[in-house]
Amino acid sequence: MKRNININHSFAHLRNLPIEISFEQVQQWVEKAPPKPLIANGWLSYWLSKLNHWKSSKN
Amino acid sequence: MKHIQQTPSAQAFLDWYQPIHAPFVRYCSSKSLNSLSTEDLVQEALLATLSAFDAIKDKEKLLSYMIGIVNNIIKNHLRKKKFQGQWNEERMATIAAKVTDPEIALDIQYLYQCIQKLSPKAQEAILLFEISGFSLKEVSKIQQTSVAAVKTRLHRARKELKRLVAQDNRKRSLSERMAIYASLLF
Repeated sequence: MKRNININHSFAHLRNLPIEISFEQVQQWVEKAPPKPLIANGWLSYWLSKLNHWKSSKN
Repeated sequence: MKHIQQTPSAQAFLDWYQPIHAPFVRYCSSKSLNSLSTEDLVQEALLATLSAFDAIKDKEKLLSYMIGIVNNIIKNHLRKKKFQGQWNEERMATIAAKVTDPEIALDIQYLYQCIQKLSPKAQEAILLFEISGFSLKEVSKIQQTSVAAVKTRLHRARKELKRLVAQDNRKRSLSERMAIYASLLF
């Protein structure tokens, strides 16, 4: 079956559909977003493990 | 309205995001037709962008970054799916739920099938400009090219779409027929 599709009309129809998610919903997601982990010093964990290793080797 | 307490970066992110909210949701909606829910896709992409908001100094690149996240989420999701067919009952049901007129729903379903046959960049340009409603300037930022190049891409894509839509009643390939049989069986 051949369908005569009006491309521009279909595009306009899609563009005018109501959006599924409100901006208020987005605001709530942003508000409830988990806080980012604080990475103050990327080397800290490395030096702590070195220190532990040094302490254990001394004992 | 309830006052929402936000951190400065969250508020800055919302200020930046608000003007593009509607086209962004429409883009996610057009990308998530047969994979995951629009809500999940929008939420995942937004939170990923929010976490990178401070790190990206050039805010001009943020929109491109966010659209890239959406595309990657969809790509990963489709990779996980065992079977992908062009004939998709699920997709048709999603469109029919959004559009009240079944004739228009069928046209849109067919149009989406034709859009999928375009090159990835042309496909993205059509979804961003024609369906989502982003401006030419925004599309050029997302695709990291000039406005003139986007215009040319859109012109060629529309021409190709017209050709694809006109080309009907053809013999389906083996993979397409298998997809139809599988969608009927499972």
